[in-house]
Amino acid sequence: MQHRTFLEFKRYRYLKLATALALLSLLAYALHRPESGPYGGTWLGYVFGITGALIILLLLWFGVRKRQYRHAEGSLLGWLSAHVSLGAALIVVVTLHTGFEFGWNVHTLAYVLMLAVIASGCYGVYAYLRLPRLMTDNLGEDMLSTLLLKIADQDNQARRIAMQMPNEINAAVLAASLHTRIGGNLVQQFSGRQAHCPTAAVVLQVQERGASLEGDAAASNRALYSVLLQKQALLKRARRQVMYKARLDLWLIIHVPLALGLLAALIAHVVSLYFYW
Amino acid sequence: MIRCLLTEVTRNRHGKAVREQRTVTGDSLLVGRGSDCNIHLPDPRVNLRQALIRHGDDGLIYLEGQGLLAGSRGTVDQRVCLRPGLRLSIGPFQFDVEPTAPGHELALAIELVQALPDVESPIRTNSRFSLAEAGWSRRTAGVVLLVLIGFAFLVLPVLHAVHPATRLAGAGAPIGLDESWNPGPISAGHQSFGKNCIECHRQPFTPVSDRTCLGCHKGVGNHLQAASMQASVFAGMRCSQCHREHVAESSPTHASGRACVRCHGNIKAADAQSQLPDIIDFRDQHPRFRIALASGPGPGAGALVRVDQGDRTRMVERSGLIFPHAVHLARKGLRTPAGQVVLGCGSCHQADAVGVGFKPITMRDHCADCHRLEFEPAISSRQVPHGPVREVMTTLREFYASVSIGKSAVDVLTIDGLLRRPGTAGGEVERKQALLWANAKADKVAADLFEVRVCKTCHAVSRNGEDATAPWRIAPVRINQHWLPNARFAHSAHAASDCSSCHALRNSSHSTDVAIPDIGRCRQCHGGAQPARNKVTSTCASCHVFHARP
Repeated sequence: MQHRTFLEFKRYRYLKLATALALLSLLAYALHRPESGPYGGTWLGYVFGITGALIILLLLWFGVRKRQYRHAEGSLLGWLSAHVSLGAALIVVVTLHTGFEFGWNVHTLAYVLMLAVIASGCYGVYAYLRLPRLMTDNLGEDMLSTLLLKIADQDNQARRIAMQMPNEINAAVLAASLHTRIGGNLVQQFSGRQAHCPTAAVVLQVQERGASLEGDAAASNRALYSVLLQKQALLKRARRQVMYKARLDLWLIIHVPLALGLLAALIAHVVSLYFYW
Repeated sequence: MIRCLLTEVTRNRHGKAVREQRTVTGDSLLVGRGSDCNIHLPDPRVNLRQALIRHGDDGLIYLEGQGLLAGSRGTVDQRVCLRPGLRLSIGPFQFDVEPTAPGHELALAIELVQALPDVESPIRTNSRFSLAEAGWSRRTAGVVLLVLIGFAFLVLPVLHAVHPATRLAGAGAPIGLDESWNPGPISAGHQSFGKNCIECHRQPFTPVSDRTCLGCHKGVGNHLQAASMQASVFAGMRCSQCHREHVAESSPTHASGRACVRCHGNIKAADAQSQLPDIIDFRDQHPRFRIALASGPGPGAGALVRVDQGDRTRMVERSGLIFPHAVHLARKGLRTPAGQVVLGCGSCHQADAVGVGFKPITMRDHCADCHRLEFEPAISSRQVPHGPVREVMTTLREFYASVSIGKSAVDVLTIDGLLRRPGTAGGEVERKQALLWANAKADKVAADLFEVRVCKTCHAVSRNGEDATAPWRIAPVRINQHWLPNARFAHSAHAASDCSSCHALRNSSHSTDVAIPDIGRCRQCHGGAQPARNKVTSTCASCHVFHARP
């Protein structure tokens, strides 16, 4: 059976609902002719504002709901489908709520934070639709842990072969096993490679050395080269796996904090309006 | 030949030493990780050929190496003598020289004391496999953001409002603590409060009260004259419902007029007694103008009444003046003391300082150059004053009395047929005769002035028997200032138009003609509240003021 994405949940139920909400809002905005010009304080502005705030709270609740495995008000897939569709509808509803009045204030801050949360969410949708497949393709039968075991195995072999090799090769193989890194800090994880990777260096070194060797020495050099090449291929996959994972996680380290910031700004926005009525 | 008893020490899982012994023999013993070494140290940290054990010249056994020989004193030597009790290390291996066993020249115990870490562990230690491992916690970042925004945009503004000490502390800051709550630009007049919301928003969670507005805006008139009606019609409404603040820097007045139509569109619903017509939009649902005109004739004449512009018979201005615009605006001009002059509207109607109306037209400034009040044809320098009848009579009598007693240098006059020389005074009888003559002359000239020649040109003059010495009455002059007293109309705003495009006076030969344009003329340029092609969008507030003038 074809794998279904969360957007297709129940024949696009929430996507249809969100589209209807957005269209209805646009229509109401077009027909509404308030005396004071459009802004958040007209009756329609209040309707947009309350709708928007309720949707935001509902979407924030998804963060709680997805950790509650026991309760089952609707499936998690349904919640995710609603989360994404309604989140997109917010762009229309809340933009109309603003009446296109913007300024350097907490109200516009809340709006901008909301747009940023939605934008990161859109990236999340893209990431969730695309990256898991890439990750599966990259790993094949393996897992990251088995890749590490295989790398260790290649390292052991390389070390054993290098024992009988000149010191500079032996030292380089040892350094490659001691200082090779997968992932690392944010930038290193995203780059998917290690600058000055000692394994890559020793591969080059062994390759160059092979040109001037003959007989048994050449054979053992070839054996080492082959082992190191395999290690390098494994490393590439492991690093790519970490890169995909980082890309997948990136939107969450933006999405979730911004959503919490939005919650604070939204509360400040609502309180300020009634505090200074 | 060196026979060496080699003991390889390993540790079992309890940490106890397990000793395995064998004998290696050779002229010299090679130590290293290479497979050809006599003493084989299988570790990548050891050199292929690390050291050599051989007899020295002195017969003792020495270990010579490449700098990896760590002596027991912590020194690194190239060459050490292997005496029993010596401990040294080669890379991760520890060498102990033990007492020589029989049949051997040397006894060495070798133990790997610093095992190479498991190959998997360095790569695990070096690597960070996820953003969370790299220290990026979404929960921490979220909580920090939540707290920061909450503090800056909620806690600080609230403290500013309710905690005077905080307000005082934040007073010098370039940005007000509660400025972030301001939803939009404040009108110019209120901008001084912009950094202190509580100037207007006195009570938290309570709408701005009218009393706050009226604290400064004293004397704002009501919309309705009857105070009780004002209270009932506008019950529950606040200033800020029409005067919306935080929208633009311009004055927060209400311009759309839709609030007006809510009552005036069906005025009977608001007040059953009202005589006003329903008004919805200037474009097509606005009644004809009612012009303010002086009433008359009859009792109460002169009081202003409003006359529907459609009522042609009553559309009569009673200014009390005789002024044919057609004569004055003659295209060929007028014959004046200064020659031929062509007059335009602006010759007399000069805009006032505010550009709304015109400066008053006065006899002295606008008429007197042509309409000279000379009474004695022979003396063009003397005129009667433009004032009350009595003053005119006084002037005439004084003048002719002066002539009769010869004080005025007039030698073209004759009295009783005699030509008097200036400066000659007669006797008593002659003076009386002269006075009689002077009075009679003044009366005659006055009758000519008032009834025939001068005054009557412009004024309605009637004979009044009450005062025998000044028996004329000039009809009072009432020049209309406000034709549409409830509307605002600035001539300056219409300066681009020619006067005659609204005021058809070029052919008006009577001052009773009313030349105020009707609503149809206004509608040629002005549309209603909805924008329309080639029309000026016009709401109620374009012409009318909500608040009565105090």
